[in-house]
Amino acid sequence: MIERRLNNGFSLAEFIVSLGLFLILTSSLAGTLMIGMRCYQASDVDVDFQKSVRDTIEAISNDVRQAVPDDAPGLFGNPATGYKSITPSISPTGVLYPNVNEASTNYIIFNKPDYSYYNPTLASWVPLDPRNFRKIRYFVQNDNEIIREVTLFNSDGSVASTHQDSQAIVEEGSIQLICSMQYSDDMNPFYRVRVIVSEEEKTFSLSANCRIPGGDY
Amino acid sequence: MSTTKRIKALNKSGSALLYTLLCIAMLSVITMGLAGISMTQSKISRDYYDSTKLLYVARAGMTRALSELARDSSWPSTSPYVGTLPFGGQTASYSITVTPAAGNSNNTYKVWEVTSSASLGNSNRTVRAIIESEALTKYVMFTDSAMWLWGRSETSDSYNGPIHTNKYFGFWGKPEFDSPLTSSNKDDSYYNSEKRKYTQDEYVTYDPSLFYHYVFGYSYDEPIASTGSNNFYFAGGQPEKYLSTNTTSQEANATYIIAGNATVTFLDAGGVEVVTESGTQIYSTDKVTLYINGTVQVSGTVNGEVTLACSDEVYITDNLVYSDKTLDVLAIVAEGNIMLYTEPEDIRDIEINAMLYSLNGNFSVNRFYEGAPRGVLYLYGGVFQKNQGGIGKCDTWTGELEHGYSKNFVLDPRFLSRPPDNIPVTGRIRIKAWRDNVAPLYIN
Repeated sequence: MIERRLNNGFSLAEFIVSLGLFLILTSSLAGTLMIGMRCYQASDVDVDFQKSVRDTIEAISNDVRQAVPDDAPGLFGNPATGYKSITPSISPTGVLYPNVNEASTNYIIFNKPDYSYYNPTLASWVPLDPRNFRKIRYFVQNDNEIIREVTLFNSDGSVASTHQDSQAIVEEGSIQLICSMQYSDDMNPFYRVRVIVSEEEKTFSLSANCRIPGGDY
Repeated sequence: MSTTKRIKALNKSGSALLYTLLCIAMLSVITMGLAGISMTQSKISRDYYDSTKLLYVARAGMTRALSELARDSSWPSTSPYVGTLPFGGQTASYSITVTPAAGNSNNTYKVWEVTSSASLGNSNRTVRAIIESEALTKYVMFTDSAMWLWGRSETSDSYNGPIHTNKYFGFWGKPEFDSPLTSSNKDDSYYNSEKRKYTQDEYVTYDPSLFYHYVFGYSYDEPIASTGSNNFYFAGGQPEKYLSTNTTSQEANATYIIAGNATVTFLDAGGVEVVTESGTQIYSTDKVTLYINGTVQVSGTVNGEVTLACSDEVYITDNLVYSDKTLDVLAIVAEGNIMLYTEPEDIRDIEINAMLYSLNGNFSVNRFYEGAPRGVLYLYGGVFQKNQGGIGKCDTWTGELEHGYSKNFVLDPRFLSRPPDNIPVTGRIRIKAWRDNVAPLYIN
């Protein structure tokens, strides 16, 4: 009886065969899993990439939609801070560039209220105070970074300060910003902002149309 | 079953269980990892989805405020106003706070600051806007009737600012402009507003840039851009702008009301002298609405911010200018005509700094069809009139000025950002400034 029981155990050959089968099975499973994971990661990177481009275009277009025409003339020898500074003249607008003179640009410049000063509900509000508005400029630097530049003004129209923030950066690749001015059917202008990002062999492009609520006088 | 067979069976079960447990353990680890990633992604998507939904709910609140304020300028009776909105099986709520500008109650031009906050569950989002009455200040020249403009290269008429007519334009020759021209083509027998179709002689067009009357044909008669200007376009079939027909609001909100005909002289040092049958009085020009129940003769140098309204006609008898073009503001609102009352023998340029509103008449020059050319009429402001008035008369073929004044009209854009009190409004309200602060987003 004892002899038969020992014969029923694993022989070395059986163990090696079963181990081999197990390894083949698990390695093929792991291989499939790895391919799946790589696909998942690749699509995840693509989704992140697209989301980043979408976030960037949303941030810029949301900013542009808050543009307001700046009427401040040049004061005390300083140049006008709003649309009056542009030659040939353009219609009153919050977006300075692009405009009818330059319908397509690789940057966008607009005036946005500085709510520390801009408050038309107050009787004491001074519409022509250059401090009512900040000038915002989005542009591409070094082909791979979108910069948001903010210029603040003093009450005499001189520049108080300028600072820049990185809004979007592509580590290995390039980024483009294309802005254009167009007219809708009711002849009010709107602005198309387009961001194109290329990274490795991938290129994504998204655009947003910005109509300026306060800009269609 | 014997003991030996039972042991053998147990040995086989043991090895299968080991492999199974190993597989299950591995798969469990992988599944948990994937589930974790998936849940994170799902939460990010849901947050983004909720944020987007809330933005639209907040915007719905703002639209509600726009609609209500157009109907009732003192809306809401209790602030904040809270409303609900069914949204994808849930109920979102918005809270609207309206802050009216100081002086809204006695001003035709009104401004409000509106905040609309939306909430759904524990999430919320806020948008803000400055909302204003739409003032009729956008144009350097406006008529509620048809407007005919002649174009000859020799003419020196100049318009710097948009021009609009609620009816239609007629062009003879190729007048030049450096700003947009628009028409509403109301009561224009050539225009089919439903089909946006224009039929003139044998020409049928759907192109708004051709919605005007010509004398000889489209190739002979057309508005064109002046040299160096990119800002010109012509578009017919545009929305009509309402021109009020009375000064009831100005009278109701007036700072001073004067009975009878008056001679008004603005004083360079500030203030305005008003001479009536009952005597002479000096009034302030510091953000005032002066209402005269009669006809007015006006001239002088404006130092302040004034709306001068009257129930009858206004005669501008001499230069009427600002002491400081960056600070001083004058709007003249007349139920009748506004006339530059100079004589044909008075040969000199005239300057008017004001936004002129003739609600039922026109802006014209006294005997503009007589005498030698008088000079240039410089207008810094704008002209809003029921009908097109005569300023000068040109030779039909040469375009040279024969009588009256040539025009140099420049829009005063300050009226766009902050119109003076009690200026005529169109009855519409609009968003002046939009504010939606979301967290800055970055790539990488």
